[in-house]
Amino acid sequence: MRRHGKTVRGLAFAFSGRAADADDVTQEVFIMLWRRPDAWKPGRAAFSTWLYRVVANRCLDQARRQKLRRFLPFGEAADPADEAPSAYDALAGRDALAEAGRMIRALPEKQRLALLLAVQADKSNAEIASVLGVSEGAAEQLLVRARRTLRAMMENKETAT
Amino acid sequence: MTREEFGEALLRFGAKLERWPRVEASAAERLLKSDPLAVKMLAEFAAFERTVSGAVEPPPFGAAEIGKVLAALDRPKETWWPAPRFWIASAGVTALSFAAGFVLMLAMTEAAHDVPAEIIGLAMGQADIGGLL
Repeated sequence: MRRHGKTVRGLAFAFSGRAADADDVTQEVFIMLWRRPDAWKPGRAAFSTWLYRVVANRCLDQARRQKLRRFLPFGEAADPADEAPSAYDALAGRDALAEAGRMIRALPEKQRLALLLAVQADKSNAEIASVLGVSEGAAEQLLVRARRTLRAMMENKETAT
Repeated sequence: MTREEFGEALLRFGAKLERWPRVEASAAERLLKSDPLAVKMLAEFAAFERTVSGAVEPPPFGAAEIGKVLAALDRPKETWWPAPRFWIASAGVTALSFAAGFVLMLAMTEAAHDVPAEIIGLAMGQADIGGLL
């Protein structure tokens, strides 16, 4: 848990922007690993790739559940993203990074995951494809769209200010 | 490689040329040696990636977070979907209601031959009950 905790919670937190959601995903992942230690098959994918796949699927499931809850008449409104400062925020302009985080979370879910895997997890396009269960070309297209949209958003923001 | 192709490749592979496929990386390096604007494009893209990377810096994972996971191990699973016993109980109540309705219907159709019309009318709520009370 010490070795992979930061990876698991980091991806979940960057995906949702909410500490409580990140904690839920982290707990679900580690409880699953605890109860089903044989879930990872050594011959198939590297452990880290498999673990990222599990986390990515949990993040997508959680996002789906939240959408469903908002759709239902008795559903709750979505919690706003936490503005928890990171160590980097203090050094490089917290507002700008918080704004960048909001823009990243505005991306479609699969594009967001592809970008997070590239930037935060430093995964190659082939590894991202394996984690997301898509072809390498499809993973590249997700990355191209995510980066293009994000750059446009940031440039628009700069020209607006 | 043209500038446009270089820009597209940056979007596909990112700013770290060592992560690019070998052919594209060699072409990009040749372009970078001859085109100062391509160098500027690379620097701008690297700055963009640093901003994104800073925005998604993972928070620390320490004893508090490990404690939460360990505590969750002992907790029964929480779900917004009702427990299976809810569905079993609902199905049981529904089946009983159908059975009771069926038995009542049978009893009424069999008894209808013997029961006076006033009583059936009373059961149906359409009779004048003043005389009975």
